[in-house]
Amino acid sequence: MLSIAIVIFREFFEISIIMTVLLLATEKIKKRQKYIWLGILIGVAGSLLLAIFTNKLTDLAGGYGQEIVNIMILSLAVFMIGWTVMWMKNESVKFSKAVFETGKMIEVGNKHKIILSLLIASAIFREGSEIVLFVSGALTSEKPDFSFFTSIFLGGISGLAFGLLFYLGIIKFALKYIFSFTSLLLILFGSSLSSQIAKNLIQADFCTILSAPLWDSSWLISNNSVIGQILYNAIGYNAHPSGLELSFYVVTLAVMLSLKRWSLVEHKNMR
Amino acid sequence: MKIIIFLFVLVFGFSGNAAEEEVLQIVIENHRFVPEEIVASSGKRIKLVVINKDPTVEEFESFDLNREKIVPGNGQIKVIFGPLKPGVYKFFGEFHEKTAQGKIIVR
Repeated sequence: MLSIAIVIFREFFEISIIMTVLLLATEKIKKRQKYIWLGILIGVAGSLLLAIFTNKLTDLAGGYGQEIVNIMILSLAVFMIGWTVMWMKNESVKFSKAVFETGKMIEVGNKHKIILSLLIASAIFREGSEIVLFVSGALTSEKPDFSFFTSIFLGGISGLAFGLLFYLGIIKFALKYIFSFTSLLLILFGSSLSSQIAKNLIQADFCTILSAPLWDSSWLISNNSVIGQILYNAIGYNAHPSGLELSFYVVTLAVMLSLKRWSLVEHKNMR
Repeated sequence: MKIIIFLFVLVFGFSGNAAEEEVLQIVIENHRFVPEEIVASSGKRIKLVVINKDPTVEEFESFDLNREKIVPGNGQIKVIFGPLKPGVYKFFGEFHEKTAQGKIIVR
C-alpha cells in the first residue's frame, strides 16, 4: 500500500512544483486568486476527461495519439507563456507610468487573467490525468479497502503539503532574490515545455533527425533525484537531451527574451 | 511560436530516416516486464513495442532513455528512441515500480 501512496505523492509534488513556478512568475498580478482556482478547476475536469479518453487516444494516429495531444497542450501552453511574458512587461511599464503620472493604479485586464487560468489548467492536465489513470487502474486490481483509500489520501495530502512547504519556503526565503527574475523563470519554464514538444515529436516518429542524446549529465544531477525532478519540472533540466530538444529550448528562450525586450522598447518609444 | 514549430517540423520532419530502425518487443505481465532484459544495436533508431497483458494501466518510463508513455490495460504502445551509444539503459513501470523493472542493453 505504501507504493500507492508514493506514486500519488510524487505526482502531486510534480504539480506543486509547476504551480510554484507559475504562481511565482505571476506574483505581480493583483486579484488573481479567483483565476487560479478557476484554472485548478478546469485542470481537474480536463484531467478526468483526458484519463477517460486515454485508451482510445493511444490507438489513434497510428499509435501516437498521446503524443499528439501532448504536443497540442504543450504548444498552447508555450504560446500562452509567450503572451504572458509580453503583457506582464507591458503592464508593469504602464503601471509605473500611471502611478508616476496620475497616482492611480491600473487594473490588469481580465482577458489576461483568463490566460493565467488556462496556463494553470494545462499544467495540471497531464500529471492530473496520470493520477486519475493510476487510481482507477489500482481500483480494478487491488481490493478497494480502507488501507487502499487511506494510502491514496495520505499520498495526496503529503504531496500537497510538501508542495505547499516548497512554495512557502521559496516565498519566505528566496523571493527577495528571485523577485526581479520571475519573468525569466517563466521564460525558462516555457522553454522547458517547448523542449517537451520536441521530445514528443521524436517519440511519435514525426521527427527523425537530431534525435540522439547529446550528452549524459546524470552522474552530476540525475532526473531521478529530488533535485533533478524539481529542476526538470521548473526549468526543464534534462540529463540526456536530444539535439532537437536542446534546439527547441534555445530557440524558445531566444524568442521569448526578445519578445520581452521588444515589448519594453515599444513602450519606451510611446512615452 | 507556432510558426517556428511548424518550420521545425517542415525542416526536420520530412528529412527521411537518418539511421536504420530496429523493432523490439516486450510484454507486461503481472506488473513485470517480460523479458526484463533486451538487447539492441547501437547506432540504430529503436522502436519498442510494449504490450500490456494486465488489465491495469501502466506508465512506461525511463530516465535513461528520456521517455514516458501511458500503456492502457490490455493495450499496447510504441516508443521510439535512439540512436544510442553502447551501454545499459534502465526503464520501469511508474505505477508498479517495485516489480516492473527492465533494461535495454545496447551493444
